Amino acid sequence: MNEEHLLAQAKSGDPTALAQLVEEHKDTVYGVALRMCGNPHDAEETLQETFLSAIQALPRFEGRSKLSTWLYRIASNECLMRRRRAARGPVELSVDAEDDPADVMPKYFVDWSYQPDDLLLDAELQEVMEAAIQTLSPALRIVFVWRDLEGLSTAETAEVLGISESAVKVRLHRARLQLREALSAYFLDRDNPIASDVAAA
Amino acid sequence: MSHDSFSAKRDCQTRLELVGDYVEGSLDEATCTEIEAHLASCADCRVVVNSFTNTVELYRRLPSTQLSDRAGERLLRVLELDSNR
Repeated sequence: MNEEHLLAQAKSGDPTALAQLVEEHKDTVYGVALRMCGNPHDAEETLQETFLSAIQALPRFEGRSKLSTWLYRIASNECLMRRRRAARGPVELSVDAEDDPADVMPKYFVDWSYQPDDLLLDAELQEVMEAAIQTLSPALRIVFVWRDLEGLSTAETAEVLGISESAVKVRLHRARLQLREALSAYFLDRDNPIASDVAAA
Repeated sequence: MSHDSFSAKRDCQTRLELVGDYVEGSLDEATCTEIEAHLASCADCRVVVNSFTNTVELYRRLPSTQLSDRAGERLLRVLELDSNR
């Protein structure tokens, strides 16, 4: 089924077409939900809610954006609403503080002398990397996940999140700087346990 | 070596904001040249750029998450799209 035909069938409620759309996008939506929610149970619920909302709204989809952009916007809103309910407070995407890069000053100057290919992405390092993502604020995390993990462009990410491209760039930069700090702290600790003790003292 | 002076160095702070663009090659040639001249003389900034680049590359290598088959089946059931309708 070509894309246009698939969309037309899905909009008319054809279960085969809808199942195909789900199949095409479920891993991406789940991946984003998992990084935003932090656990598989909530991620799965978010995934289900996303597709339930999308299927309900699909007949009204006018094609002004790509279907994926539209779907990912629903997914992002579900993720952020869930976080808002959990935090019992607003989770703003458009907070000026997130766009101010001034306060992310490096604390760790650990020189990873490795080339990235030499670094074994073992289970421990993966765990550290995933944990570091969880330390990002929701506003930074969702930009990082869409841009660097799911590979959306700056323009697409901006469209999905309803923020400017400039805000995407600034938040991505801040997210990457924070993750750099987390990984630097890990490598300092792993490779120089004595030095890290001294640094902590 | 004390790194306390890093935050006091305006040059370094300004360049920190450009690290992302520099690493992605989206800066104009003149700015690139200027940054590279600074990196040649600033060990702290060299470390930050190297580790920033490594961070981005590492995360790009992070395996993508896959929904389990069972969760996929549950999803189709919830959406009433499973074949056992």
